[in-house]
Amino acid sequence: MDLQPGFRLVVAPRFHLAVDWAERLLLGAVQQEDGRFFPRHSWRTPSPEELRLLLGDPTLPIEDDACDKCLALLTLPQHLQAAFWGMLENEAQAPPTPRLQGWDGFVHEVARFLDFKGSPVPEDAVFDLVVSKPGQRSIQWDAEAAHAIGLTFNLASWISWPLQDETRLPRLWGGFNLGDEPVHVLLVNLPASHLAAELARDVAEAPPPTTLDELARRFLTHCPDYPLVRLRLDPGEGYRIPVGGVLIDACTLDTEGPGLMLMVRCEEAKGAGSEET
Amino acid sequence: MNADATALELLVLQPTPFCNINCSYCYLPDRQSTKRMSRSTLAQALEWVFESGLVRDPFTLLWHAGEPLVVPVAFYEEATALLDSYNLAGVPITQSIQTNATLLDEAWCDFLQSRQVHLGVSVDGPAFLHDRCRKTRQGQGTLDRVVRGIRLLHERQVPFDVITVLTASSLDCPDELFDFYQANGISRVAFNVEEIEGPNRTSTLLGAGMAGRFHRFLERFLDLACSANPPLAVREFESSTSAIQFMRLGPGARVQENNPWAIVNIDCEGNFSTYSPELLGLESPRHGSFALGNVARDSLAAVIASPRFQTLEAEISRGVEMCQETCQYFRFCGGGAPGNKYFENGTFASTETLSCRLHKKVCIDVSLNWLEQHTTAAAAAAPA
Repeated sequence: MDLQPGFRLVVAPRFHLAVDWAERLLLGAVQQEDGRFFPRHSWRTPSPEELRLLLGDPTLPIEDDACDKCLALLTLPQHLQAAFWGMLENEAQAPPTPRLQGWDGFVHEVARFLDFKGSPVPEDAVFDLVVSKPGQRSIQWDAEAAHAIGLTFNLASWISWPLQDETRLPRLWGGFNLGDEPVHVLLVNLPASHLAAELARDVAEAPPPTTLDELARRFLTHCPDYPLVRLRLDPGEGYRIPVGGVLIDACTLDTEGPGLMLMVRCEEAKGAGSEET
Repeated sequence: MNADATALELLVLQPTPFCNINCSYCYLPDRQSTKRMSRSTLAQALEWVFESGLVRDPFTLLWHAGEPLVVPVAFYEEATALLDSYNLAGVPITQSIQTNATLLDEAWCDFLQSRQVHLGVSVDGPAFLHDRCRKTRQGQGTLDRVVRGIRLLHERQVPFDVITVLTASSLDCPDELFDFYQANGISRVAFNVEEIEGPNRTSTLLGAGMAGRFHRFLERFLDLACSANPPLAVREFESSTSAIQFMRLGPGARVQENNPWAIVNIDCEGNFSTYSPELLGLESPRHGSFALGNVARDSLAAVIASPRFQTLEAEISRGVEMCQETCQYFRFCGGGAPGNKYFENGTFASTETLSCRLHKKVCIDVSLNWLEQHTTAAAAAAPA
């Protein structure tokens, strides 16, 4: 299945990154392992037509309203990156504590910065530091099962489909590469509604999926060759996930040291109507 | 002697109108002209200044209004010797150069160090901001050369300040600017706003909601600057807090830029003016040339008595009075810059300008908020 027009990859308004998209992007496919989905080992550069589908016209400025429907690249200022490393250095010299000293202040400053830049994190946002071994195909880890989770929707897997009010549901908002090596974001460039429509067209006889997890499994099983986008994220850079439900993960396939990601997620808003299954 | 005239505070000398770069917001009309101030004009200019009676207190001699470093170091060595020879009373004089830093070399560092010349470097921040406006005549960015100059200043331990011109794009980037200053060892910074002056007929800062954006920018930048170790000095904050804490300008008050002869501007041909330096070299249908005379032939007394100066002074004075009558910030500001008033409002007898809205009012408001918050916090933290 060829790449379809979905959400665009853009630099968020008011952020300044010198991005050579062609040099940052690779396309691949997924493979299933024990019911989980990971990138295959082979990657290729996108064709000019595929780049056009992914980027639109990158010279045109992106408005704030349109940005919600794009995967937007962000970057943390150097002083915040330095603050993070300073915090780690202090931690290394002090007796071990259950919680990183200065973490709350650090993430508060990150939130203030993003707010100033017009990319505010939701009010109930939670910041996690995710440390991954080098060479991992997924940074999502199931601690109980002790294995990588692989590609999933940025919204909780149990959420019922079709989506209700997405902003009130538990979800991953975005992430930042706090490490000193590039990591790669892996994603399918289509929102959940496109995936469902694709399935409805191809497997019309099957009943529609009832949860996001079911939608993800069915699509990735049915379309394993649909181009999986691999986007390089340099140190200090981050991404904001568009609305609509996105199949997304990140990997440390080319890193020599551990990957350090600041993941921003939202807990379920009080009174949200979705049910856990 | 002109005992009635204000004492000179700032002498702006133009060694050449030429600039080796071509900034998009520049107000200098003749920046492609390679004319230079001759030794005899320089001597006449200094003689005129010291004989005018204006030199009564320490003042600053600023080499500006073109790129001063396109003129060889030898010119400034000679100028310094001449300055000493005319300054018989030994009035303390601070020499200052405002430069784009692209031409700095070892010889310049030697001169700046040996003569203790104050240096101001014009740089607008990271490349995506600086190179957008500060370009060569071929349209290339200049930041690489500026940063090379800044590195040399650090290597040679030559102190310097920085002036950054803020455009609308800069207002989204306080963190990026802060990072730039930190990365380049810049410890003192001043912000100018992109002004409507002379040939620069518009400003990106004219858009709607700009005062709010400027406020947010300054507020965030101030937080970053004050949290740095050591704190980054910001001229706008220092001057605003000083105005808030100490300055209470009353009726009849004037400040440097609208006070006749507090500033004297002399171009490379010896033509002189007063008030805003940007006025020199320009003219208006009503006032004619803003150059009021030439150091080779016109005494200060004759110029002060001339109808042209009297008309100009009356109009500027009226503008200051209008500010006093209508603006609650007058006691901190003293009536604004005549140059801005003329270029924006078409007359000196006018009040608010872009510079007033952003550079004065917002700076005062932000500084006042900061002082209130931190004074309250400090008081709360103090032991009982």
